[in-house]
Amino acid sequence: MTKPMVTEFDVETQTTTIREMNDSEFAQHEGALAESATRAAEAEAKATAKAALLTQLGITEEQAKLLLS
Amino acid sequence: MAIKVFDGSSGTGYTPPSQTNNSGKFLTTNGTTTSWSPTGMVLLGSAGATGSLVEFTNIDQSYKDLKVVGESIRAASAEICQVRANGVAGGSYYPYSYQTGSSTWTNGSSTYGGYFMYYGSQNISVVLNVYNYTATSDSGAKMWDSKSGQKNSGSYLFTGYGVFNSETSAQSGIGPITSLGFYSSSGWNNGTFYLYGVK
Repeated sequence: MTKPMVTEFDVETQTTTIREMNDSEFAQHEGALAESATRAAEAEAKATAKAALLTQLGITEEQAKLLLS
Repeated sequence: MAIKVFDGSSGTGYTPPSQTNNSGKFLTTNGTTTSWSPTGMVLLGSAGATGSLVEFTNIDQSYKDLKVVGESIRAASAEICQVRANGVAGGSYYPYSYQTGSSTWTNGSSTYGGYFMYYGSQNISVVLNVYNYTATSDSGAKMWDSKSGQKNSGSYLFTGYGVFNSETSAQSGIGPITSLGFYSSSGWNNGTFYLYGVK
């Protein structure tokens, strides 16, 4: 499996190296992807619940914002 | 090119300290000894935004703060992008961020780094400051803040901030910052990051 690439600029030597992620960086990358997926699912669930509540109340999102302002 | 300095009082010349690794610095003196000293804001280097991680390493420790400017930055798909220091990930940096489109403050990633910019669909301009970056883990907070936006939509204005060495985070033990990494899970595909040292 090809790992994502890293662009590394060494300030001391002023050189750029483009390489594959090492194992540690790849593990961090996979962790970030998993967290991102979890957050997206949570956001979608929240949006669904919000839409259902607005329907239940019989008001629009704009009207809800007006009520809370 | 070798520099020779002429001392008017003694009528002799002498060679100042080595120029190697001192690009952009100014010759100064403490009254006895000459040395190279950074002044103002000095460009330390730049890196094209390619791959998933753009990282500046071996950062010069002779400045007070760091500033990173990203120009025409794009990622492969819409996402909130992250910053980390010294390659340390895991645990929270305790950063918070605000995006005008969602009108909400959110806490940062618990698995990677702090959210520093939002990429929507167009070129992004971003600026990130890191303060007191040479502090040891016990001598002061290494605070960072950032702002980003794209020219054709107010929905993508974004700001984030945090502390790299918050005592209750996994980064509590990190010493002076020697590397800064900018991460996009979908992958960077346009633009350039510029790293400056600020005296």
